Amino acid sequence: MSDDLRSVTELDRLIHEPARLLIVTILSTLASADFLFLQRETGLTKGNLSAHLSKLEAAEYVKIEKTFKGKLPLTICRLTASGQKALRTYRQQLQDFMNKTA
Amino acid sequence: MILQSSLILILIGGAFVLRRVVNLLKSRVTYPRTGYVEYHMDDKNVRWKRILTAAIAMGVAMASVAIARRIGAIDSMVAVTGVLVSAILLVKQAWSSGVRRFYILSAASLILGLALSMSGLANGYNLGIFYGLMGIAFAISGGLTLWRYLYANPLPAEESNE
Repeated sequence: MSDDLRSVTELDRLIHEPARLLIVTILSTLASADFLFLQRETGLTKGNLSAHLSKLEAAEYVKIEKTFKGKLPLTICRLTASGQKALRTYRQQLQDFMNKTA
Repeated sequence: MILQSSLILILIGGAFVLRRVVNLLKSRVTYPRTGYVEYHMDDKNVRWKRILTAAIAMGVAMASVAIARRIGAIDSMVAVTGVLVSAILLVKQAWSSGVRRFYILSAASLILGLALSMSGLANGYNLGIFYGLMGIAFAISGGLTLWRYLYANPLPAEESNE
């Protein structure tokens, strides 16, 4: 196996996980979204989505802001610049790998 | 001329008020049901585009009235208005949003404009009827869409957010 193909092992595993990839991809197309919107779009449970968002926040890929809209608590999520860069790099690496194996 | 210009001003003012009402409805009705989302938007460009669109709409309306007067076809203004509303506002809205009901409203505007121009009613009346009926058509269309949305997305029993 060539070194080129082995590069797939260097994929960012934080983004590579399907649920997180979905969250990051959705957020990359938006300026921001709240927890409820992400939950509906991803189909994840509250606990699952919360856990994945915490991991993305810890890696500084996602910024989470907790506010209130009237009496309703609002958890606003947005992709950070490093999150956008990580997603771009991930896509490029995966694309390169696919092109080499096609 | 004054009538046509004031109607355009009413339309622009109405659009401004409507935007505020829609934002209020969004925060009270849609956010608790389907969540809050904000799209990427260059605020400066959007504001200028809106001002430019309003200015073009007013210019086109005034030019249409002037041309209609010159060729003695002022009673056909409602047909011209129907075509303009259909072509400029609705088709543009339908294309940019991809919402099919705007194509239906566009067709309604076109048909209504042509029908009223052939009705024999005086210019002031047929224009008033046109805007009134189109307003009702918009309200029904929006109301039906809201009703379908509320039916498909009941308010969650618990607090909507995390």
